[in-house]
Amino acid sequence: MQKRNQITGVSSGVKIAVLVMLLGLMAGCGSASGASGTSSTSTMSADVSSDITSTPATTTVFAMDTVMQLTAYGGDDALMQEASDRITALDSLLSTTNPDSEIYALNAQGTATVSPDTAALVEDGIKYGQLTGGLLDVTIYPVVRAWGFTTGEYQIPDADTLTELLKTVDYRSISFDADTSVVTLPEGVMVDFGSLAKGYTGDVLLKLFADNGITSAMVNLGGNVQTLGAKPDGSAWRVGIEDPSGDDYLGIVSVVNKTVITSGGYERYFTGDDGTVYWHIFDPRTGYPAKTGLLSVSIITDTGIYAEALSTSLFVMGLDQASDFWREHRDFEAVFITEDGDVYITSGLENSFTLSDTDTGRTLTVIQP
Amino acid sequence: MRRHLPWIVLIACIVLLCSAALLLSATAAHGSVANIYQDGQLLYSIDLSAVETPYTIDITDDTGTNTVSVETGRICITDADCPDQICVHQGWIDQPGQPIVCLPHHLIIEIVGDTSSDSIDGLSQ
Amino acid sequence: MNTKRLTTMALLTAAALIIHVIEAQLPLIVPIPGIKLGLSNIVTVCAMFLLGPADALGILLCRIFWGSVFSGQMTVFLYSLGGGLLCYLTLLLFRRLVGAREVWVTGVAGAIAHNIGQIAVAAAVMKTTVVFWYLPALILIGVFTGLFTGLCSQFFIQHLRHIGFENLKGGEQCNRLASKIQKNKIKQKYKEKDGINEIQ
Repeated sequence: MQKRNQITGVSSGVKIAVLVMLLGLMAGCGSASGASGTSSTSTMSADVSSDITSTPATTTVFAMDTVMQLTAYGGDDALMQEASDRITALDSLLSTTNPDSEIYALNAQGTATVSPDTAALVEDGIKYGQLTGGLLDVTIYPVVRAWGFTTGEYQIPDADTLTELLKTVDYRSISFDADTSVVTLPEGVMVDFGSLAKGYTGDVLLKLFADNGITSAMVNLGGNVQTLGAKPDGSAWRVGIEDPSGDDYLGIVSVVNKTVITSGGYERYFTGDDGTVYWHIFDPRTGYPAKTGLLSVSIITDTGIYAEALSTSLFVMGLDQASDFWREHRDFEAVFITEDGDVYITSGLENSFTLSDTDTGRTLTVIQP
Repeated sequence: MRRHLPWIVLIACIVLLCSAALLLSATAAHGSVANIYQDGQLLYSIDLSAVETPYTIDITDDTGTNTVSVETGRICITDADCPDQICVHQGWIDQPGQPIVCLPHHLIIEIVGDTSSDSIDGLSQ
Repeated sequence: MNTKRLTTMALLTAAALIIHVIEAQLPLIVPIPGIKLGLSNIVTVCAMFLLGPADALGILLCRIFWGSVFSGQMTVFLYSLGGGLLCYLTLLLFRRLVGAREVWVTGVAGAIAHNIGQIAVAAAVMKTTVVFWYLPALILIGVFTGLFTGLCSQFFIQHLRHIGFENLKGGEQCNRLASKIQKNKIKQKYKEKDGINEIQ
C-alpha cells in the first residue's frame, strides 16, 4: 500500500494547479468566443458619465445592400441598438426584393397604403423629380432591372424593350394622397427608393442622435457620410472623396454638420463584350447609362436625402448643366470629377477642400457663381 | 520535487525568452494595422509595416471565398467568388478610414492607425 | 494483436478525435486559421507511455486523418500532421529520458514541438516566413497547454497502471534503468568493500 502511494501519489498542490488551469482555459474560451448577432455587430459603449471625447459608441450594421458604420460620441449601447433597429425597420419597409416590404406590395399591386416613412420618401421622390426636371426619377426601376443590376446578371437590353420600358418611367405618374397615405401607380410603373433610402436613413439616424442629446456623431452608410455637429474637440470632420481609379481618396473636404454623398459610375458597373463600360447611373430620358463626361459627383449639403437626390441627377446632367443648376440654387456645394481626371469644385468649397498631395497632374478648377 | 528542478528551470528559461521576444516585438515601431472582420468577428489583425514577404490569405465561409493579398503597408482582395466583385475592384488600401467590403460574404477589411494629419474620418464613395 | 490492445487503441483514438473536434470550436489563438492548441496530444502522450511508440503512431495518424475529415479543411490536415509528427518525435526522444513522475515534462516538450511543427507547415503552405513572428507566442502557449496536457497524461497513466498496464513502455523503464544502475553501483561498492574485485 505504501509503495503504491509512493509511485502514484501526486502532490495535491499539483492537482489543484491543473484544475485551475482547466478552469482558466474554459473561462478564457467562454469570453473570447461570444456569439455575435446576424446583422448588428461589435458594439462598444462609451462611459456615459465620462468626458465626451472618450471612445464613442459605435456599431456596424449590414443593411440596404451595404455596410453602415455609426459613431456617436456620448452614446451608449441602447442608443446604438435603437439606431440599428431603425435601420433594419426602414430596410424591410423599402426593399424592392423583400416580399414583406411596402414597396414590394406597392409595385406588385399598383396601390398601397403606406406608413409615414415610406410616405415621406414618396413625397420626396416627387419633389426632387420636379426639382431636377425628371433627371432623378424613382420610377426608373424597370430599366435598372432590365440591365440586370438588381440580380447581378448583367445584360444589354435591346432597344425595343427599352423603348417600351421608358414609357413607364415618369415620376409624375405617381399619385399620392397625403390624407389617406395611399399611393397609386399606373400599370407597369414600379418604384425603387434605392437612390434616396440611404440619405433618408442617415437623416433619421442623426435626428435620433440629436433627440438623445448627442452633439457629435458621424454615420457612414455605405459611403454616404453624414455628420452631426463637429468632432468632440470642435474640429471639422475630414471626409475623403474617393478617387475613381481606386487608389484611396483624391481629396479631403472639411465639414461641420453636413452630409457628403458621392455618386460614381465606378461603383457598380459591368463591361460589355466590346469593352464599353455600363454603370448603374441611368439617364431616365434614354434608359441608357448616363455618359456625360463625369466619373463622380460629390454633394455637400445639409440633409442626406437632398444630397442623394442631387448626386444622381447632377451626374446625369453633366458638368455644364450641373454648374448652372448650382448657380441657380446655391444651397449645396459639389465636387465633380471628370473622365479625364480633372476636379471641379464649387466656390463654396474653396477653403474646405484640399486635393490629396499624392496627386499630381490633376487640375483643380473652381466653379464661380 | 527536487527531481523536477532542472526541468522547471529549463522551462522557466524558455518562458522568459519568449516573453522577452514578445515584449520586444510589441514595442517595436508600429505601422498601420489591418483588421479583417467577417460577420463582425475579428479574424485577423495584421501589422502591415511588419510584412516582409507578401502573402495571401484565403478566407472561406459558407457564403464563399475571398483571397486577400497582404504586402508591406497595404492590403487588398485580389479574388473572390461573389457575383458583384466590388471588393476586388476596390484595389489596395493603405490608409485608415476606408474599408474594403465584400457584402455578400460579410467581410470587412479596414486599417486602423493613429490619427495623423493625413488621415480622414470617413470616405465618401 | 490482442483484443485488449485493439480496444485500448480504439478508445484512445476516439478520445483524441473528440478532443480534436471540441478544440476546433475554440477561438483562434493566432490569426492563422487551422493552428490548434494541441490538446489531443494528451492521448499521444498516454499512448506513447502505455502502449509504446508503434501503437502511438497508429493512433496519431488515425486521429489526424479522421480529425481532418471531420473538419473538412486541408490546412487543418497539414498543420495537424506537421505538429503531430514533430510532437511524436519529441515524445519518442523523451520517453526514455524521464521517469513516470515527470511525464508532464514530455507534455510540455510535445506541445512546444507541436506548435513549432504547425508554424513550420504554415510557413511552407503560405510560402512566407512572416508567420514565424508568431513563434514566441506559440512556444509560450505551448508551455502552458503542455503543462496541462502533460499533467493530465500523468494522472491518466498513473491510474491506468492499476487496471492492466503495469508495464509502462516509457518512463518507468527509465526509472528501472536508473535504479538498476544504482543497484550496480551499490553492488560495486560492496564488492570493493569485501575486497573482491570481480569483473562482471
